[in-house]
Amino acid sequence: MPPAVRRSLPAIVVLAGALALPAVALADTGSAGLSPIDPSSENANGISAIWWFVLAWAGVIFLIVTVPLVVFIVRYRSNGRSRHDEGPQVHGSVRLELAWTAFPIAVIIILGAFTFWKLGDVNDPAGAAGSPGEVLVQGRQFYWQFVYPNGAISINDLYLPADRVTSLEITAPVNDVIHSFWAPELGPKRDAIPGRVNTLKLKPLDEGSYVIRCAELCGLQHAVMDGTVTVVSEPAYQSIVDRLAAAQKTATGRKALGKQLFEGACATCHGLEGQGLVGPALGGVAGNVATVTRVVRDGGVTMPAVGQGWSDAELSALTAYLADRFPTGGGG
Amino acid sequence: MAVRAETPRYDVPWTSGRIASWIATVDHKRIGILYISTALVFFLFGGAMAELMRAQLARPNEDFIVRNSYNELLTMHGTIMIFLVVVPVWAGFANFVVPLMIGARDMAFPRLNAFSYWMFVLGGIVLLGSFFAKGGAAHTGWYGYPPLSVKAHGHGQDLWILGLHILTISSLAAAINFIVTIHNMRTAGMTWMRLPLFVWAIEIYSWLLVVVLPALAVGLTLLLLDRQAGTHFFLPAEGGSPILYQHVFWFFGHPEVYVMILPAFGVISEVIPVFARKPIFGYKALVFAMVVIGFYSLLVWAHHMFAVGLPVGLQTFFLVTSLSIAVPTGIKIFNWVATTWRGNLIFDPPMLWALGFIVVFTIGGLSGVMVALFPFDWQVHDSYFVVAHMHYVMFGGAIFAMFAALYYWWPKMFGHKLGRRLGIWNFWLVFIGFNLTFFPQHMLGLLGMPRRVYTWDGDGWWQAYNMISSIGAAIMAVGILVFFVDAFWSRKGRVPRVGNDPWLGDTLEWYATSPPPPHNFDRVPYVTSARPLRDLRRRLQEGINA
Repeated sequence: MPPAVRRSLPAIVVLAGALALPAVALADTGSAGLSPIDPSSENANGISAIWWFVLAWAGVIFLIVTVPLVVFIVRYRSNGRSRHDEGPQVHGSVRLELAWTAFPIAVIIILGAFTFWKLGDVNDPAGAAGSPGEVLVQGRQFYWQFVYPNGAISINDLYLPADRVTSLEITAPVNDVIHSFWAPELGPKRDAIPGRVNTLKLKPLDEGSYVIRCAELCGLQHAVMDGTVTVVSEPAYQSIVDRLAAAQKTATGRKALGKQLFEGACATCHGLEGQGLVGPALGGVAGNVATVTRVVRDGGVTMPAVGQGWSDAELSALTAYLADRFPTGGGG
Repeated sequence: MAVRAETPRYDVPWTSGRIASWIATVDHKRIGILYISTALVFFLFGGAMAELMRAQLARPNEDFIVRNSYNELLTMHGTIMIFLVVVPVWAGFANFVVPLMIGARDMAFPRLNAFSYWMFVLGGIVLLGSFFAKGGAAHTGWYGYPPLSVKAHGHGQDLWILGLHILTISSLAAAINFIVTIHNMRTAGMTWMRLPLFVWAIEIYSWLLVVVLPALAVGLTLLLLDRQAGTHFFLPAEGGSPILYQHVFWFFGHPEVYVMILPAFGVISEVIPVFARKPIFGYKALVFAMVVIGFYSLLVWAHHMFAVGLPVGLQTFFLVTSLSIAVPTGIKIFNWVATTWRGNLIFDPPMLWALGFIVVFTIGGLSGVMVALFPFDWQVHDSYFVVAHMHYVMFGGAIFAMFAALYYWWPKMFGHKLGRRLGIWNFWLVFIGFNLTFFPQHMLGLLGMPRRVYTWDGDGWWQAYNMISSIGAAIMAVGILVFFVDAFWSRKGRVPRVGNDPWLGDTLEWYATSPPPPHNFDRVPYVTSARPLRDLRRRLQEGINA
């Protein structure tokens, strides 16, 4: 150890401690953004494990760089010496070069190995599949549509069973744009790409409700394309989905779906009262089945075709709701 | 102005005026200054857009600039900072410095050089002008992913494509010019292993541009055809593939990051030894590291696409290549730190920026390692974590180095230094403001805040971090304005002139007068090492002592 380094050792220790203490103190307060927020699925736990592992190494490397740098800055500052006063003419050291080539290689091998050890949890968590086990997730401008295997549809509200692996088949209608499905507390995100289906296997662990965000800029209302994942017990999940499917075959149930569609697909731009926001006020149009059908199916000049690929049942659910909600043509 | 006008070879009367001589110039030094000052003007535009965005995001559910207006800002902020600020500012410094550093009279193709500059200006006008187009400026992100960018209404997106095409031509011409200059016009004795590290950086910068810009041009052309000619390369409804565009774009886009950061490495490698009064530690290792980084940068593009749903095997390949880049980058950082060991560290503004660069760039590099681990990236991709990461690399890297370069070469350009006191204010305000702005954004991303949102809703830490970030942005703005005040105030007559070599530099540009004459050098000393000017000083000293 060169004498300069030995002399600086106390300073290094003090500095490292000063840097580490607030980090530890802050980490204690939970979800202050010092780790991925409140991991609530096996996938998210895997990601959190990777985070803490890589963060520890990053902290060590940061100190390996900055502590000597700060020590050198203090120790070798000019302090009034002349600019002509040169340091020793050291041009390099093969041994040091080899050392700081080998060390990062070792670190990235360790990081990579740990990541692949945890990859299974994140990408393909083990455990029983939920029943029904596949949910179709469609990102659409600017709402999420979820279709369960029994045909039940929900808008912006996704139900998932706890402790079960659910395959989310994530896509977007072919005429839509790219979105990205992300429930931060549940972990990994996956792009919803028109004409392509991505499978994301999620295994939520804790019952509760978690926000969904769109993570790919998808246009005008990208920022408010939010949804909710509700994680409930397996039996509760089955009964919710079954009830939803059954209800949507009745007039009341369809109206409830119509309300969801209106609030998810229409109100983001036309306002919850149809009063107009980004898009125009719904005015006399809302009650006109033919116009609504055309606009919703094909879109307008700037309006996205929010209803492309909707089933007739969905479409009539919306028109029935609109006719009911805005009997005189609506607006205001 | 500071650089003396060259004598026109042909007597063209209109080109001799004070302004006209700058318009008609083919002198590399004047073109360099034009490049740098134009890029700084665009820097103010792009920075103002960032400040507007931070104003909108300071508080939850703010209603200041929303929806597509905000999307225009975020798109144009990114586009301007990349294509109109960082890439051309390096072209500017390279223009001014490279011929001087290699002891040449000018660039290899002076007129092509002027052409590059004026194409850059034209591209900038088209991009900024697009705010007045029908439907506003482009609002689909600086990467313009289809189908959104194909569906985007108005002419903003088309002008964006046009502007980038023009800038591509400008950059290609400049890159070829740099390559030819560096290969053919080095002075006697300047072998590749005696080449200043900044020149090495520009060599690799240029090669990367030549290799990847055609990919951008192809992607943009197909995008334009999809928009205007009814083709469907990227439209899934007609069998096209939006993922294809992402591959093409990022094959350009990631090397572009190194196009912006390699010259920054070059600047840091020039500044640190001069202000540490030592030779650079590990010259060959630094050259080797830059070449390796340049090569690897061509192999990492799909780490921008980890959320796309590529096969895990493919993601593994890009994980390995992306992590590998950390090794040569680490080598550079360790060598810079080692250069300061036992030096005589003089904290003039260029050195402050260079040392600040090491700290913040290390943070950006480490978060880069994190996002290379694709399972972790699935969490933070397209969140504010990535916004923080890329600003630590691009602002903390490229812009910090840009300021180092401005303070370092200012005396060569204008014959006087920028103020030391204001320079210190400039550095500390920006350094503190920068960290306040971007460090909390890591936390916001981990809390679940996506990128490119015009508003957010949340309490507690969300409010705290967003507010801190916006306050930091304001401090940074003040710090940057200090630089502009200094640049305008420190003019001929107000500040003392300095000699040819105020920092006691190592490289040949300090051998020329400040500012250099049109022909640069009356004669150039024979180069026997990577530090010809120090050799010369020592020979003179020995001559006096003898």
